[in-house]
Amino acid sequence: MHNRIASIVIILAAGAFGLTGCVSEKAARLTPVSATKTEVHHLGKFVWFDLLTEDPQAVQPFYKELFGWRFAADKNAPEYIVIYLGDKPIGGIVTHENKDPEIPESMWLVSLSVADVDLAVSAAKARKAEVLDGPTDIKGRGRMAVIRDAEGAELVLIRAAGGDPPDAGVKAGEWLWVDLFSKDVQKAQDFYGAVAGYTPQSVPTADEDFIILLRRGSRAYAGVVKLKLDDVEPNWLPYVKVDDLEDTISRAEKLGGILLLRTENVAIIADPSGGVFGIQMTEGARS
Amino acid sequence: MKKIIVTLLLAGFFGVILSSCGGGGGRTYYQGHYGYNGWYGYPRYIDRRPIVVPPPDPGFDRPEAVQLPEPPIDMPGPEAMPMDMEPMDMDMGMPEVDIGL
Repeated sequence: MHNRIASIVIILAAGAFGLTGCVSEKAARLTPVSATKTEVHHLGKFVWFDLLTEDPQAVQPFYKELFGWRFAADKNAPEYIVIYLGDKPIGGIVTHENKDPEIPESMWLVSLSVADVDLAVSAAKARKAEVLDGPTDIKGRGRMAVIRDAEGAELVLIRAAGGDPPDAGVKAGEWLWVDLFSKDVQKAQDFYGAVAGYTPQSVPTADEDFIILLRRGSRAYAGVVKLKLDDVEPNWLPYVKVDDLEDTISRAEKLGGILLLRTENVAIIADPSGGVFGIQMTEGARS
Repeated sequence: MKKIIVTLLLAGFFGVILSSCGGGGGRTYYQGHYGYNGWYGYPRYIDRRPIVVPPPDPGFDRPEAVQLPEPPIDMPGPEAMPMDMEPMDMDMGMPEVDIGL
């Protein structure tokens, strides 16, 4: 009799322990990168964009006014803020405390869809990349790793749970393009060819220079731009599509942003927290 | 025998519970230190950087701030200066000396 009671108590305790574990794990589940389960992965495409900033509340009005984005705390991880354009999740904002309070560390981290995160990480490490986080399975989100490539540019490698977002047309206010600013273009295209299976293609630009398109099959998913600015370190820069470049620049500056660079169709802006992103008016040859 | 069966059942129970909940990590994902973004050093980005005053050279005696004398009360203001004065002869007849410049 005593043994039976003891067994029931143990089983109940085990159940309680197990349920507690489930609740805490549920808190770690993040919003998927795709609003619908596609079960399709667009390998080589950048499928998610996270802003790491020390002040998530301060930057939301900036992006809301500039692009019409709205923000909602992730229902399972309140510290993670999901960015929506309409009903479509397009990115996230993560509280990231500065290690050095004197230096702003806000940055946009882009997530590259790969077939196998672990294999991609191995290929990156073999080419002198540094692994900063993971690889780890994040419930709802997928398997992820944060790496710093051989030149120092950070990005996320992801195999999204449930698949990537549909590869459909891009509306104003959505992410349009991603460029790698690199000081060694040849080294960069070799690196990402090994990590993500890209085939490079050199394309002349209007200013008698060239850009390397990183392609998979018939699609170009990103560009490699020769970094000629001594003060800028290699980095991945995401671009938002806009309808009116002048108007967007003007509004960004009124909202506390800083225009860093611009061309006829492209501009690079720092948000009020120091996170840097691009805007691009037309899809053009780089889409 | 009963003990073995109960032990196995409990082990299986724990296994099911833990495996159904495992793998997530239970933390916000981005934990690493990623440094600063690549545009930090760009001149126009400098507005976002703090102004750092370099520490004084330890071998340099910093001059102490001293109180400036108050101007005399009856000193005429600039508006009282005559605007139509003839230019003064500043060399006052001194000979020119070649100092090698």
